[in-house]
Amino acid sequence: MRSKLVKRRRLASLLCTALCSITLVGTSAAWAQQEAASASIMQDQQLSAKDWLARMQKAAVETNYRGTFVFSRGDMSSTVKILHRYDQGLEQERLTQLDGEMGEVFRSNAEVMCVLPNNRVVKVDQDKFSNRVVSAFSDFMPKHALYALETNGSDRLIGRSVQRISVKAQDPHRFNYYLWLDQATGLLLKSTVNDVDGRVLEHFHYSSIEFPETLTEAEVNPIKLGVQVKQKMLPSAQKDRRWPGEINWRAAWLPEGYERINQSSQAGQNVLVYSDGLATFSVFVEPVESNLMPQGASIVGATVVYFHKVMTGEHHYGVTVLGEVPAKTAMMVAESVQPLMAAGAK
Amino acid sequence: MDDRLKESISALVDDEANELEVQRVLNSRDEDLAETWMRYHQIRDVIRSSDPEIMAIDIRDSLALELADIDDLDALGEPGTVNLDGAGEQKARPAALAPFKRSRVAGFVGIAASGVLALFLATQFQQSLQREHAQEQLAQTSELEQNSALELAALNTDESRDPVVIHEFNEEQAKRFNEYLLRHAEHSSFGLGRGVMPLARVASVNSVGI
Repeated sequence: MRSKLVKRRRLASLLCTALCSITLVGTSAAWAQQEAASASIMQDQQLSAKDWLARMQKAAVETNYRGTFVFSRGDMSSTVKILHRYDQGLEQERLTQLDGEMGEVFRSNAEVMCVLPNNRVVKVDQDKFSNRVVSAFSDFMPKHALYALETNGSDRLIGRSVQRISVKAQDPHRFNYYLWLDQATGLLLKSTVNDVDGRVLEHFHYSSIEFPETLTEAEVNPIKLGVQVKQKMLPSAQKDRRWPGEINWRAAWLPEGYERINQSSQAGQNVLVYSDGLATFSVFVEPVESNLMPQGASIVGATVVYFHKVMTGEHHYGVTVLGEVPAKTAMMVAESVQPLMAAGAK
Repeated sequence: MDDRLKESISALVDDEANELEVQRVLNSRDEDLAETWMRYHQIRDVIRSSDPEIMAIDIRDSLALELADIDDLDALGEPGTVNLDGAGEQKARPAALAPFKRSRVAGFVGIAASGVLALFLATQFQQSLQREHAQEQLAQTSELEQNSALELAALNTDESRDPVVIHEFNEEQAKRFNEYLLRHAEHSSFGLGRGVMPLARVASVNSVGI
């Protein structure tokens, strides 16, 4: 009896081992095959620059990742830790300042909240200003006439294979972008924004990154992290109560290729947003007294903020243009902003 | 500038100056002091063969041409040493070369060579002085820039429109800028603007205490 039992056990364990090894071999073979397949896909298809950009867009939204990047402008640079989560259509992001004073930025889809030192929270009041981006623009690609897209070979960055892409402006109203995209995921790992003279205005690159399968919501949700939203900052673009309720604004001059992309349902809206698909600028029109910005332009890296005081007849207002466009472009837009009276309003 | 001062400068360049000479140079108010100092250093560098650019110059051809122009070396008058004063351009002509007889061309060439070299150095020095001035100004400007929280950029336009004016923010303005930037980041969260860049801009602004 015993010998039979022993024999059975031995046989069982033998079978077990055999099965395990077969599975292991099978899995690794399958995995190797998959790797080879994806590598050959990359080679065979020779993705165009446009394909890469589409891939980059998708990866930015739908990939779960955790990493640290360095963002520099001129002589200033900062190290930021980032977590990005995507789950069933909800995109969440958390950026943590690692240099200088502690500060965090949280994003949930299009809603952004800033947590500054002393738990001071800055959040745009969504009730007063609704910014529903026109769905046609959600996958907006820059037009060919505006930028020249090019692939520039592959490279190696933080231990990963990357594809180099250049997006070169074809007129003086936008900047040049150079991108390094992760070959495996399509995610942007490094980029520079250069002006027409080739000066680097902004430099961004990951120093480390990992792609976990899942991230918990607790890691990226400010409320769940215990952030007390005690203070809500007032919306920065206050309308002037003296203005007729229906007053709308428009920029009489726009650089080519930029289209208005915000669709505020509120009448008399005083924030305009324009984009060419890559570069975006926002125009704020406010009572001139409440606008503190200095006249003229101030530049932080690739971002310009241009303030222009205008007085026409009874109306005095301040126009602020902010975006990643050349300063001269911002100036020309700001100076062209004018009111459009709705019918029936005085 | 008298010879004594020149000698003191030269000694200082070679680390052979005594106390008195050091004092003489340091207390000198001579306006050519800086120029001479630079030039002596350049000459020292050449002699020590530390500048590959200068060492690569072969003056044999041009020297041969110069010598060919001098029909009668004897008629040039008394021999003299090559003068390395600031106006080197004028002095380094064939006539300034020591007028030896043709039979002493070998030794003559040595001095001639240094004469042509002096010409080269004088021109180079003028150029490098200009470059240094420009660099100094740039360095001063970039120091200022580093001190302010936000980068100041000078803009030039190629058209007749006035260039935009640049400002630094005070604390209130910086806070307002941050608010605008936040809202703008929301606007940018679409299309190719998707991804971390708009938020990185907001986050990095916070890092400088705004």
